[in-house]
Amino acid sequence: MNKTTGNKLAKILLVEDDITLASLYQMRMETEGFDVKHCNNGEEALEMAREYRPNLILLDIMMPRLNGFDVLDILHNTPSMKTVKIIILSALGQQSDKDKAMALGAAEYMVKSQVVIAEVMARIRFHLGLPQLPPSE
Amino acid sequence: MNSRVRFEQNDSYERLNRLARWLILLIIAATFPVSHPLAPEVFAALGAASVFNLSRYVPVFMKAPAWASPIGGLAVDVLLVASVISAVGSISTPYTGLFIGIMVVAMYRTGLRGLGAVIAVQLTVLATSVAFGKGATATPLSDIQTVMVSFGNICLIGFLIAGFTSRERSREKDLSEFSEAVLSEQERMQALINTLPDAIFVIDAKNRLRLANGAALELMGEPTSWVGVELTKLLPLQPRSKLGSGPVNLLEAGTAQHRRDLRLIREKVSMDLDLSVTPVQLGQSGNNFIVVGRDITKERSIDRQREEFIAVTSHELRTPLAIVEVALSTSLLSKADMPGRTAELVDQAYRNTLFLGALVKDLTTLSEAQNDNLPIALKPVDAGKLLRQLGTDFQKTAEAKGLPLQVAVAPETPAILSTEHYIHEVLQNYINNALKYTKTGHITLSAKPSQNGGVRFGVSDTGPGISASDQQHLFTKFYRAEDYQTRETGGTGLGLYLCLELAERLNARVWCESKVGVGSTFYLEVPPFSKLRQDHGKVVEAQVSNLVDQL
Repeated sequence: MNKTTGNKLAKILLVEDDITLASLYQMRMETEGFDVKHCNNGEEALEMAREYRPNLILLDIMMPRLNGFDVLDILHNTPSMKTVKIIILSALGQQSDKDKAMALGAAEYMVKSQVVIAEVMARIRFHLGLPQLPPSE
Repeated sequence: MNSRVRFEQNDSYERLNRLARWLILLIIAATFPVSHPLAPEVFAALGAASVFNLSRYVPVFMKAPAWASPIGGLAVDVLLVASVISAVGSISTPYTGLFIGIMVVAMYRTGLRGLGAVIAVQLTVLATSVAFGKGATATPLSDIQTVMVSFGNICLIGFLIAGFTSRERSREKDLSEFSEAVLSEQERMQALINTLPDAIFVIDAKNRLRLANGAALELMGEPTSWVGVELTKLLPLQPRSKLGSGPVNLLEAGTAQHRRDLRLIREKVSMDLDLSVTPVQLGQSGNNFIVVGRDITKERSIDRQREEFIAVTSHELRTPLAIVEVALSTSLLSKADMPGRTAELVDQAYRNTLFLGALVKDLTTLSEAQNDNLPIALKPVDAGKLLRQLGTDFQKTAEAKGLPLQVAVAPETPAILSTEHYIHEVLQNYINNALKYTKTGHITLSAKPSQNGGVRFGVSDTGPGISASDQQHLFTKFYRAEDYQTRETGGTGLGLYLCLELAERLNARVWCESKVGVGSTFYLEVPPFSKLRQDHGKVVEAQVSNLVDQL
C-alpha cells in the first residue's frame, strides 16, 4: 500500500447517499492508496467535481435532489469533464437502467450486491490504467 | 349434409322412375297390335327406350349431371308415348292415359315447372295428332288390348302415387330428425360457450355486439338489451395508466391484439381485465371480432405484491448487503493482524455474505423472469458475437483454473430475434457451473443452427458428469447433484431453475446431455423468433373460433 508515501494514486469522487456505505468505500479506497472525497447528493456532486477535479467518479443513481442520470448527463456534456471516468454503482439492476446510463456516457455500470468491493476496486484500477493488485487469498 | 340428403332422395326417386318406365314399356309392348303398319318403328322405339332405361342403372352415366337429370328421362317418356299415339293415329286411344303417369313423375321429380313442360309437350303432340293424324291408317286396339292398357295404366298411376308419397313421408321424417340433431348440437355448443368462465363477445366491424355468453353478460351487468349496441357503451374500459380518459375502443387498432392494461369501470364495479381481440370471418356477415375477456384483478394484485417484493429485495436488501460485504472485505485486507480465530470467522462471514448476495441476485432475476407484465424487447441477436464476448469475459477465470476456454461458432449460424440479456444470463449460468465443477480438461462454448431455424447454444465441459437420475432434477428449484458432505462449490441452487424460467420466457428449450466421468453439455435452443408464451386467453380464443367454425 502507498499509505506511507503520501503520493496518492488518483483522485476519486464518491457520490453516495448512504453514509455508512460511503464511509466504508472511502476507507477501502484510502487503504488502497487513493485520494477520496465524498458527497451525499447530485447537486453537491456537480459542485465538487468542478472544485476537486477527480480522475474518476463513483456515482449512485437514486439520490436526493439531482439523480445520478442527470449528474451523468451534465458532466458528460461539460467539456472540461469529458476525460473524467464515471462508474455507476447503483441498486437499480434492470437492463433498461444499464442501457440508459451507458448511453449517457458512463464508463461502466455495476449493481450493488452483484459485485464485490474487490471487483469495484479492480474496475476502478482498470479505468484509471493502474496495475491490478495481486489476489488477496 | 343437405346435399347428401338430396342425393339419397334423388337416388330413391330415380329407382321408382326406372320401374315406372319399365311398366310403360311393358304396357305398350304387351298391347301394341303387331299387325299395325308402323309396328316395327314402334318396337324399335321401345327398344331404344329400354336401352336408355338400362343405361340409368350404370353408375358411370349417372355421375354425369346431364344424363342423370330427370328432365332427360321425362323427355324420353313423353316422346315414346307421343310417338305411339301418333302411330295409332287417334287421340282417343287409351295410350293417352300413360301421360298421367308421366305427369305424376314430372310433378314429384321436377316440381310444377317440369309438370308444365310435360303438359305443354303433351298438348302439342295431341294437337298435332288431331291436325295430321286423320289420314293415318288406324288399326284400332281390340277390346282386350284396350282393357289391358287401361288396367296397366291404373296400376302404373297407383304404383307411382303410392311410391312417391311413401318416399316423401320418409324424407320428411329424415329431415325433421336431422334438424333436431342440428338443434341439439347447437344447444350443446351454446351451453358450452355459456358456461365457459371466460367472457366471450362477438362484435362486428362497427363495434356493435352480436353475441355474448353468460360470463360476458355478467361483465356487462346483465343489460336488458344488448344486441346491436356498441360494445364501448356496454363495457366501458379505461387504460389503467390513464383512468378517466374515456372508453377505449378495442377495434381502434383494427387487428388482433392482446391487452392487459385495461380496467372495466361501471357504477360500483372496478375490474382489471385481460382482453384478446381476434378478427374472424363469420358466414356472410363480413368481418367480425371475437373478444375474450378474463378478470385478472386478483392476479394483478399478486403481481403488484411481487413487484413490491422485487423492489424491496433489489433496493432495501442490496445496500445493507453491500455494506457488510465492503466492511468484511476491507477488514480482511489486514487479515494478518487479526488475533486467533477471528480471521477464520470473518472469512466465513464474508463468504456467506457473498452467498447471500448471489441468492438475492438470482431471486430478483427470477421474479423478473416470471413477471409476464414485463415487456419482452426482441432485437436481432448475433450468436457468434455473444459467445465470443462471453469467451473473453470468462477467459481470465478459466485460465486461473487452468482450463482452456474454446469458442466454436458454426459459420451458417443464423441471426435470431430474441432478448440478448436473457440468453446471456442462461449461458453465463452454464459457464459458471462448468467452471465450478470442472477440475481438468477444457470448456467449449458452441453455437450452431437448430432444426427449427433458430440457434442451439451449448456449453460443454470435461467435468465429473451427471448421473441419469440427477439429470432429471437438474432444472428444479434448489436441487443439487452433490450431497451435502461434498458440497464445496456453494451455488444458490437457483441457477438452472432460473435458466429454465428465462428459456420459457423466450420460448426456448434447455436441456443437458452428460456421461459420468466424461463430461456434460448444457444446451439452450432459441427459436428464430422468441414469442411470449402462449397464454390462457389465446387457448380459449382458439377453442371459440373452432366452435364458431363448426356451427
